[in-house]
Amino acid sequence: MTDLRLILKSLMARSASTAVTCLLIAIAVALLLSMLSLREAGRRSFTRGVGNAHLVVSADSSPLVAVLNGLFYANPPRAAISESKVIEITTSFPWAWAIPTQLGDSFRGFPVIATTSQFLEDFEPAPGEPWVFAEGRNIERPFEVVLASGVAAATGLGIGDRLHLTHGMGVGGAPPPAPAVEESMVASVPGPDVEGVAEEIMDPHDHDHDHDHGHIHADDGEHVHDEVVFEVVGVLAPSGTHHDRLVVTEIQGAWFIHAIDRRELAGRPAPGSVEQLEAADRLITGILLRTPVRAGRNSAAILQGAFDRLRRDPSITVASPSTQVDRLFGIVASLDAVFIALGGGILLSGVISVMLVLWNSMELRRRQIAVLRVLGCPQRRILGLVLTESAIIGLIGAIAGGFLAVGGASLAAGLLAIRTGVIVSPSVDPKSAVLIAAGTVALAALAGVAPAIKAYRTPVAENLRPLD
Amino acid sequence: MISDMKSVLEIRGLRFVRPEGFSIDIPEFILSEGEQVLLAGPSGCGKSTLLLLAAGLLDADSGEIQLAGKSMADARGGRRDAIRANRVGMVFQTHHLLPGFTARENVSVPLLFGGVKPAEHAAVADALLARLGISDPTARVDRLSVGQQQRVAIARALAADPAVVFADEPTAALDPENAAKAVALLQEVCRERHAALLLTSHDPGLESAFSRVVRFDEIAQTSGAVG
Repeated sequence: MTDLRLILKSLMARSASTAVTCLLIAIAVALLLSMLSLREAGRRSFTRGVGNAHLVVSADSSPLVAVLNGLFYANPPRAAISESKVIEITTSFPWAWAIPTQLGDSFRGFPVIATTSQFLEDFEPAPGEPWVFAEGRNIERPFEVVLASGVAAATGLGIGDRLHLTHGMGVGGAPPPAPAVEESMVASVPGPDVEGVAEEIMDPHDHDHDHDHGHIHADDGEHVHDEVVFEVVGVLAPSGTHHDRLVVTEIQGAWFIHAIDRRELAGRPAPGSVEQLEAADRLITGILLRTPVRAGRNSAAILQGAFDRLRRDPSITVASPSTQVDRLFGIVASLDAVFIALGGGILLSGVISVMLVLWNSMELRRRQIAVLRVLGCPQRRILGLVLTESAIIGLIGAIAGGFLAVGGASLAAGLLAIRTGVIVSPSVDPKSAVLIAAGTVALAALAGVAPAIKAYRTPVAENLRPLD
Repeated sequence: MISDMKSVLEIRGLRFVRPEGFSIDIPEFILSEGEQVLLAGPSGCGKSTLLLLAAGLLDADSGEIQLAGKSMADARGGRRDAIRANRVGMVFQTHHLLPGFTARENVSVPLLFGGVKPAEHAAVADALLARLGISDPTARVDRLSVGQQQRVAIARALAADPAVVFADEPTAALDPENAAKAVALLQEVCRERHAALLLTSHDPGLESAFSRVVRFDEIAQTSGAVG
């Protein structure tokens, strides 16, 4: 027999209340650890998801919005950049690469990025990790799409499948639960359904229905671009970033479907092919830029110079993605503090419950304490036994909380990936985990002080009287 | 009758007053080494209080209690607990075993507080339990019969090789036949281990088993009710 065995046997003898108390502590610890873990993982994921773009240019209202929209596909940009401005920006500086993008469409809630083949060649979804094709090839012609791994997995679509894009980014960015048949696979050739479009556009009565004409509408005024069929030509391997929710399409095809919409509204005939597109149709919502990185040259200074020059242009917004991600986390830091304070509050309430459970158990264990005293246990040792018992509850709770946190954080990361596409890899920082565990044990031991004093003061003689 | 043997318990000029008014005065009581004494008296007369005072679990208001040569008045706190752990064994009417613990664990607890190395606990406990007829030391005490529980309680009282065993009405819950058997067993093992025995009982049927029977009112004056 040892003191520890005595304590453990005592805890096991009250297994139900011990389990509940440990569970309360475990939940609080798990909550705290999960929040810390997800916070760090989220920051890592955002920083990683910036990819290898040095700058983002858009017509958004602020640099943060430009990054959230342009690189994290939060919302369709509210304004476009004219073709002449795009040419001016891309030719005014010897960029390593400059990739035009157009956002605003979606497929089953997944954002569609209309761009050039450069996006899948030069842009890296995570720094140093270029795109890898699981099957198929890059976009080459209008009306071709490449599905990122998450989209392919969620939709089950593959090479050769055909689909319609939806105008708008989908409800909250989440895939709709039951996609309309019309916007999924279609059995026709890729490209414009010229006959149908022409027929619909030439029907003068439909013009009164404002933008309804020829479209299958979705929620929030979204509609399906059912005039044009897109074909899947490639599927990407997972990149472990939010970019895995992308549908990448060739930009001329996207210009074409929007040109149909605009001309329909203006009462003009729809273009018959991409060759009939006008300068006004070739709208860009963003440009991803990378400055040249060469050995022996001050890349940071080059980037700063390019950034400063672009910033002088009031018609555009230029943003450094990494700076904006840092700013974003600076903004949400206070929210983190609130959540961590909440976790701390829950931990405190768990510790108080330890105190109450132990306090009540002291009432029930007065006879046992008296017997221990009869058997020669000094009062101070009784004090130590109860404090250790309390600390052990804290330790068991902290360990169980650690396991719960790993499970909980993985679950939360899974939900986050499904809901927002942000891929986080939760991991508990060992230093934080040890600190929280040590703090929990110390708090639990502190919670045992009052019950221990009660046990210390338990009168022996009156608790040895025979039971009635 | 005081023998020539050394005393294991000496009480002189003891006065104890409870806040509610009950008081005991014991001018003198001596228990010799290895002696077995029945302290007889009706229920509620103060016999249990005397045992608690002798074991240092209650503080006397005045007087002297020497237990195995140590003054309980001088020994306070941990020192008094150490004397009790090493020199005193106690058996109660309701056994007061630790529920959820095995027989071996119950017998090991006084060894823990008596400073015996944990590695030796099982061997000591098992030998004692075997001597008392408990064949399975790993049995949980709450699953044993009342008679077996009492034998575990006796083993626990003797585990730390005490100089004296105080048994407070240990047969009160037993029928006369089993009471006689239990007392005989207790006397036997105390004799084997050279421990004195002071057993309180209100049962006159046990008097024949003891060579020395002391009536409580012969050694103590009380006033008020025990409460």
